Amino acid sequence: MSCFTFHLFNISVTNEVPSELSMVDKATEMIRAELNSTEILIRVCAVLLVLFILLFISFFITLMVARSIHKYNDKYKAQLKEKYELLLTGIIFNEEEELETDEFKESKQRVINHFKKKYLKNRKNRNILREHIVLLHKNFAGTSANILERLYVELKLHKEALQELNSPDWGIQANAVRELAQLNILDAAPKLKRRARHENPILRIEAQVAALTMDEQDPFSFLDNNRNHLTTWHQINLAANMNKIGAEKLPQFSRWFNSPNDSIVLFCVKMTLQYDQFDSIPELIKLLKHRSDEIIAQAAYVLGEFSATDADVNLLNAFVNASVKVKLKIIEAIGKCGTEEHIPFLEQQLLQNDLTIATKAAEALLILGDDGYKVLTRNADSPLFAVAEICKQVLDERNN
Amino acid sequence: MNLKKILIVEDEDLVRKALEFRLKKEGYQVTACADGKQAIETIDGSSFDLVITDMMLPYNNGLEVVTHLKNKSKETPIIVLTNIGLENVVLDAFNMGADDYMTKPFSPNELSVRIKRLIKS
Repeated sequence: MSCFTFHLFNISVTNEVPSELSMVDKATEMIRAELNSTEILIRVCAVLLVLFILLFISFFITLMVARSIHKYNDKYKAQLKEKYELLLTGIIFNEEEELETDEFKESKQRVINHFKKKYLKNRKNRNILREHIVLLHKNFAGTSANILERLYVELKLHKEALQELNSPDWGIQANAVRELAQLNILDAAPKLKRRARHENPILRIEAQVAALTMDEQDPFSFLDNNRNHLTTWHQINLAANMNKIGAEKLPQFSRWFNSPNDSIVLFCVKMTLQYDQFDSIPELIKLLKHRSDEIIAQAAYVLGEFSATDADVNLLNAFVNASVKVKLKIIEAIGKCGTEEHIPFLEQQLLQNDLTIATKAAEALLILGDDGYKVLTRNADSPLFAVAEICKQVLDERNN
Repeated sequence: MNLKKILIVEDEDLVRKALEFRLKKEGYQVTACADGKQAIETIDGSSFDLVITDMMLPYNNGLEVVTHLKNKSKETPIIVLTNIGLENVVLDAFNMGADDYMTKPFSPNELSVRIKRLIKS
């Protein structure tokens, strides 16, 4: 039995051992493989960690270096600023008579030579001085501004700005244009004017503003054959800078009323009003036949503001097939330049279904004086509710 | 000699220092502030014969400086400095009690004349 059992056992042992061994092997191999892959993973993680730490340290060092450079630059700039402040304030606040004395000229030259040698040899320093001169020039006028302009040229800082005009970066070019125009470097005028039709709108505005102040002969010539759209912002910029030029240099803006560029026509119509160019009334009347509603509306508005009584027939003719926007402006203009003859026309508009037109007509009637007032009072009792309400509203003194 | 005291309130460093230099050169005792808050504190701490203030200031604007000064001392003349296109701000400043204004860029010589006129009156 035992032998049998042993035999059996033996058999079973001999039968089972290889399979158990192979399982253990397999398991061991699997564990080993698992361990190997975990080990690889750990190694990969460790490498990544080291890389990350290295990256972090290098980032940190870069950050610290950048900060110190920045700090150093700021400190350097502040020190330089103080030196420049001394130079500039010492030079610009002098009386005109003082400037012409030999003593002043000599001491000024000494200071300038000292600055040239010590502080203006590198470009960074020169740029900081440029910034300062531009800032002071923006704030001070009169003799001080003239001194700054002279100093800017004497230190040859305009050459830096002229060089920047060749930069591929339009932002740098625009700044240079502004600076040269502000400091009145007339030699640069042709170069600046060339940029007045540049494809970049910012650079274009700067160059056009520069042309306004620097072009002695024809400051508005950039409007000739100009195909670029003048945005409202652009128009505001030009209008704001026109204050800087003398009235004698202002052209007759009707010169551009035939421009194919509607935005230029619109701008010029506005400027005709701004500078009270009453001589342009005949040209403004012609604009009432323009293809653009916006231009007709603006021309009608300006004719009204000019109280152009001669324009009444043309205004009424333009009214017939006009859009609501144009009609409103024409009614407003009739109110300002019309007479009692126009009261029937305005009363007719008062009875329109369009409430905006009716309201505008009521307002125009009120401006036309006693006869218009009578029409409004009569219509305040109109059986037509809307008409009566509009008239009451316009007649109410609290609204006037 | 009793020097006339002027307060300059201007946020632009260089402009403030330049004005300070100019007025000191003319014989005034000058105090300068870089913002509205500092100006109000300075006004509370001492009195001045004239105040020159920019309208666009950090913390408290020029209008607040004008109002504060006029509440404290109605007699102190004020000249406000402003940029082109801010005429409405000047009107507000006049309503608050400002005595004169100058638009940037301004002539320092003209400013001197106005200061003398206001201090005399």
